[in-house]
Amino acid sequence: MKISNYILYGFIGIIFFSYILPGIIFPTDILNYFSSFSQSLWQKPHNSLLADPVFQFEPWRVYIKGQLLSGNIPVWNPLNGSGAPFIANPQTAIFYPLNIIYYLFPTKISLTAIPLFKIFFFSLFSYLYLRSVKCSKFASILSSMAVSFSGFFAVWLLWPHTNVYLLFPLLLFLTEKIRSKNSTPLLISIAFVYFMGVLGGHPETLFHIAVVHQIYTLIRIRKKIVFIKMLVFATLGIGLAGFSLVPFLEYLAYSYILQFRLGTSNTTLLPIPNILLYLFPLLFGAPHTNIYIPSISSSNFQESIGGYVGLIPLVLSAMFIRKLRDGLVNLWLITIGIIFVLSYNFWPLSIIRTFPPFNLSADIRLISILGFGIAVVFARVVTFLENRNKISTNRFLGLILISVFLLIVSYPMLRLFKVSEQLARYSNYQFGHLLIILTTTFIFLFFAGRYSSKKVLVKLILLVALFLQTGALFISYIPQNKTESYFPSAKWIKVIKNDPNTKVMEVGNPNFPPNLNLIYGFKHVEIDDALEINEYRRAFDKEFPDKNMWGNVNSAGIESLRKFGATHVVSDYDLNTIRIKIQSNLSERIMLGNKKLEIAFAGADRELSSIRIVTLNFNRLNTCRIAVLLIDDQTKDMLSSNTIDCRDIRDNMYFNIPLRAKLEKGEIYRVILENVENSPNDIALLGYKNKPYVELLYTSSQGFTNLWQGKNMFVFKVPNSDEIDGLDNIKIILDNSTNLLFTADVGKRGIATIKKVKYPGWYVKVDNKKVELHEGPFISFNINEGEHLIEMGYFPVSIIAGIVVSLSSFILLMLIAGRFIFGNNRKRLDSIYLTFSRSARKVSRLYNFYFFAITATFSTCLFILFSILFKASFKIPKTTAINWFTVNSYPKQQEHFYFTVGLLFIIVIPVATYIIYLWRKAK
Amino acid sequence: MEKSKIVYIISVFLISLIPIFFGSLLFVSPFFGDINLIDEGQFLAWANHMFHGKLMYKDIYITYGPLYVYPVFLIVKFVEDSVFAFRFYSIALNGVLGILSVSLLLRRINLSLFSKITILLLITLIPGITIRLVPAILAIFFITGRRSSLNNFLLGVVSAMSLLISQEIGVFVGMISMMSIFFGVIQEKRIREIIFRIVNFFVGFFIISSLFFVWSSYEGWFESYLLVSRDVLTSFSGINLPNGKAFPNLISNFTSITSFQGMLRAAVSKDILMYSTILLYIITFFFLVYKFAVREFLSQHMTITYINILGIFLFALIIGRAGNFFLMYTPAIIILVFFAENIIRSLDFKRRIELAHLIIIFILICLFIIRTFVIFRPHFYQLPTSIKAVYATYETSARVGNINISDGQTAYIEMLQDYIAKNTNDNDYIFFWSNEPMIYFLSDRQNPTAYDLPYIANTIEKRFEIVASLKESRPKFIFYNTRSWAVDEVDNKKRLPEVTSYVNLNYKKCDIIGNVEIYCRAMK
Repeated sequence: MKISNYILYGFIGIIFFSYILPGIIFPTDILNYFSSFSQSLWQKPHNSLLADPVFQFEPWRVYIKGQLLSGNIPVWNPLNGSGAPFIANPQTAIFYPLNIIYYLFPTKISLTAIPLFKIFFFSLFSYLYLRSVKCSKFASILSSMAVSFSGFFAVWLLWPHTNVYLLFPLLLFLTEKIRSKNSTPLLISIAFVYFMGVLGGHPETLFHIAVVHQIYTLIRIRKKIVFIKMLVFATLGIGLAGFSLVPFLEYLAYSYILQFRLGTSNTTLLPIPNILLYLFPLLFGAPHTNIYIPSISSSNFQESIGGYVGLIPLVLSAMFIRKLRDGLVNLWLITIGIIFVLSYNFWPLSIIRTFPPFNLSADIRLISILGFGIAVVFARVVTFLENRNKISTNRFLGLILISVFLLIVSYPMLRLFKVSEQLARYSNYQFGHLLIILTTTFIFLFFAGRYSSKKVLVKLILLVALFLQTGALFISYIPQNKTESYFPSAKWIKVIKNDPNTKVMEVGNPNFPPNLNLIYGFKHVEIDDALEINEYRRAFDKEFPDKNMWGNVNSAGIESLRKFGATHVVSDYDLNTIRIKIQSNLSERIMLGNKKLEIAFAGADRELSSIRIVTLNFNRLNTCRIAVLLIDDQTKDMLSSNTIDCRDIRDNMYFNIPLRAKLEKGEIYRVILENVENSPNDIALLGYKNKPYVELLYTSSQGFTNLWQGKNMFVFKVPNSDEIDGLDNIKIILDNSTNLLFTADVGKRGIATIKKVKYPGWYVKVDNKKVELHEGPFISFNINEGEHLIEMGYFPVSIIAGIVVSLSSFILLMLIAGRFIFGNNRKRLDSIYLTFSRSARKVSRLYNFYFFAITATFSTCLFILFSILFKASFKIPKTTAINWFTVNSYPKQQEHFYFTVGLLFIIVIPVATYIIYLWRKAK
Repeated sequence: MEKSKIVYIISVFLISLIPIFFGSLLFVSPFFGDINLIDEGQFLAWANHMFHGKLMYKDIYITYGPLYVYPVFLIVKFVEDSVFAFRFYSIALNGVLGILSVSLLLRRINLSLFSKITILLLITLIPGITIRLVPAILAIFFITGRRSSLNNFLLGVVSAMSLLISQEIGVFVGMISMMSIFFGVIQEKRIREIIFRIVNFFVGFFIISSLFFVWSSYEGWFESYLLVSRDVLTSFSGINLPNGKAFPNLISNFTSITSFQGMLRAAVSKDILMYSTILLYIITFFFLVYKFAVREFLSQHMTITYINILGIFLFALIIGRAGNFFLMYTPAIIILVFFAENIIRSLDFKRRIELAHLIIIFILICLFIIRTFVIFRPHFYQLPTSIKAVYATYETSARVGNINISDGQTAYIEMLQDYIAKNTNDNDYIFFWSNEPMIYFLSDRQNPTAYDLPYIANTIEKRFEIVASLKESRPKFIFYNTRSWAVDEVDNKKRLPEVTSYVNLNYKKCDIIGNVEIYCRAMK
């Protein structure tokens, strides 16, 4: 079967599967972490690490789809951080081909289909590459399955990393093809793959695969000219994406993240104990299982698991590697070694990481390539085994001994790294995991020893065994949720959406992280796009210096909020209070258990409203109940009390406990927390030396209007906060992502400030004349008294420059392609042309005339019929113009649409029919 | 030199004289015919403002390229400040240059002398050729010629000049130039030759561009030119277009017909004529595909291909502005005559069926030409008077020159000239709220705004710009001719509501002469 057929059937199959599958394959249940979306008792999210897809990628896609459907290219995001470049943020991956599925199909289908397509294409490309390096069909299938369900691909499936990474085997495949036949179309394909790589939306991953690919090319091809050609075409491919890359570079130059990374050294490394995860990936638990203890592995599960492709490939490769030392295997072994040393920062290669750009990129993710390398060696081993009639019994015995050895050795290793105490509680889980991995390894080795290419059943068993070590372990990594769980609308959202100018600020706990607002269609003061405009972020940090352990703003004054144009605040505590910390150290975990925690403090002459503590629930459902008492230390009278249901507690979050009492100045009081039920599980509090972190919240009028209140969740309106300062009587005429047009009065000459971020490309015209902008994070300018028309617009030179780069690269590639087609294939083309013309000449002129006349009449009638049957509705574009079209509400664009489509329709159908007719006649 | 070539050159020369005596396009004969206060008026108003120190694009909103407008200023300054001088220039520029460029292009097509002269006569008599098309025609001429260094250099020159004459045609010329370079690079085996050609093209392009850059930067309007050009290219192709109505919809036109007579009328209507042009381009496309298929695609067919592309491009422009339908005639006429001659040459008249086809096609071609002539019949009615006017001298109003215009228009002009001269001095601003820019030239007064045709300022930014200019310069009088052309039936009071409310608030109607309302500043 041809590759195109595979792709076609794959496409139909995946779309059909995504359609019939109930619910959505998307971790929206992670919203349960927040009180803002889960006011009832806490529901445990399936996987605590899948935050970015919900809080970043999905809101971006929703925004993109909305903009594209309205006929706009989303170059700017006006809803976050007082505005930010959007197309320039590569992670949005607007033009990545797989994301087109999202724009065309309903969300339910595309959420499932896109990850499946990624797996499909990655396995296909891996298979093609493995076949090109002379691996057998079965070995290629086995190995491509291993990498497609490997640790890296499974855990990063919803991230743009895998958009780019899936192209890696395709690059290698094309390189191998070029090695055997140096042809222009293959080089153009390389350029196209790099182009896709940029569109994929993760420059860091592209950088990693590009470095490895270029070194691979240099070593494999060993011809300077071919290597240079490869470099040139890769550059052209990257240049093709200039329209996205140049704005990105501009954004990077102005970004907070670049300044931040330049100011810090890259110390992100993989901890050495994590090497165990190459053998047993879920040894320290996993976020999608009931057990997950990040503190044991000292690293994020997603980062640690990247090199895992199954124990079987590792063991089998280790056993037979000495028999297979050819150039390719050596190359991959060296690659694996270098990446290993780099990822775990072993000297002397660790020096590389001190040089740019390695010192700015997260090189630990190179271990994905390490995993891929193991899979390649594994495929070569399986091919080698297939070509041998029988593996010697000794070797087979050796393999089994290795398995048993690993089983025995693993436990002491755990002890060696002093994690056994914490792991002791989960020994059943760990033993079960070891058992699955080692049993499947044993089964694989057992049947591999009896391998015969004719036995389908043996092959199937081998596939299943390997799948049980890879796909089966991660199959539930991304949860399947009900369709209704997809960004539900909470009551408080309806309240603030009533205000058309809503601009939200989050204070305290993460309740409504930036980007989520894109789903609900209002503004957020902050942005989370991994770049952030430096000047804005610095101004923000300066204005809101009080941050909590989440990096969130912990307190905000009205004046500061007004400066950023915030109209509403979502907070975990009552902002109309004064907060006093009586114990501010958060460095230790205090397990509550059956302990009674006490903390004493001197009262102020105020009314206590509540206390605020920080709780941990270890990401599990706890059934305990905690009593909270406020005691007068002198009289021992209980002034106030409350009880917490542990199911209301969330991990690492502030918990607000109402405790109302009038306190006296200088008097000593005591807050007591105790577990009142002897339940099998309990929570912990953050604090220090058995003293929990406690804040007292005294009633005070700060001027905020409380709009909504729930469990650990408050919504306030900021009084008199406007988007525009210094102007009166503002009448908005046009307001979209890149334009703001309004009239305003100015009583006295002064400075006007529009709380939109200042960024290259933005300009302001007052009465159609450009004005100078002041320094600062926002757009502000001088304005004279009187009535004015003020126009603010975005004209990004970087995008124009990017388009020029893209067009130039495209033209160059087209020229190269054209020269190839007309140069190298001239004879072939001439012969095809001759065949056609012979057929054409056999037909009389009149026949030709009538052929075109009839087909053109037919296509015209068909077009008219389509136009009548599927009458497209056109809206009047937003404009301030007064002309015949706007006066008569006539959407002018329909004429251009009908002309272009109609002309193509009438021309293409007859010509295509004519070509087919001549072709058939020639045959 | 061959006899036929000599005859051709003489014919071209004689045909070039026709527009000078008879007129061309929208401008009637230099000697005869009422002044077009709008189309002719805008050029002379711009020239007059420039004469008084205003800068193109910076102080005046001009929708054409500088090379189209600046010569008018030079004529007003150095030759004669009259409408007559301008007419002579515009006819020479539009008519004569148009004829010369088409006559050059016809060298690339294998046609008989008779056919060539027919084409030149038709494009002269049916007003269609304009200076805006000349660079496009020349570009096709150079592209389809020998791939010499000179041709590539001249193609670069023409490409740059076309941008400076008309932004839209400039884009088209740029596109086809790039296409030709692209195909050249693909087909040419010698890399050196490719580089040489590209360098020649860009040298030509950059010489003109650099000269323009130096000139416009020296005078200080380069950036303004870029901004206005962007505005023209974007607003004139979108919803912000100042003038233009819906393109005729044939389906609704025909479905609303109830009688046979109505059907006949619709069949020969102007709308059908517009559709027949695009039909012609589609047929030409099929013809070229057929020629290619049977391996009979000659170099002249490449020329026809480019002319066809030009025709489709112009038609796409007309979609936006149906009023500019005259633009479509030049390529259509060349293709029609080419077809007519080819059909006559290739058909076997002895075969009845082929003869029948020939007759049908010929009838259709004739119908097209006759219908076109009928549309422009007023133009031909004036023929005897136009010729007579050449020999006469006239006493006309100031700055009109030796043109025979109607008594009504003379009276109108003199009335306004008289009023303005008596009530204003040289430094006073006046503002024509209706679309009659010619009065600025005829009365030699300055417009306080950048818009001599106020209807063009149809977006709110431009409307506010007018208001700001009126506030700043406080014109002494604002004139509004109630009978003047309300573009697309939307008069300027409706189009420019901010201006209307400003005038109503700050001015009062102090006089009415004829159909002209005169507003003067209200005392506050």
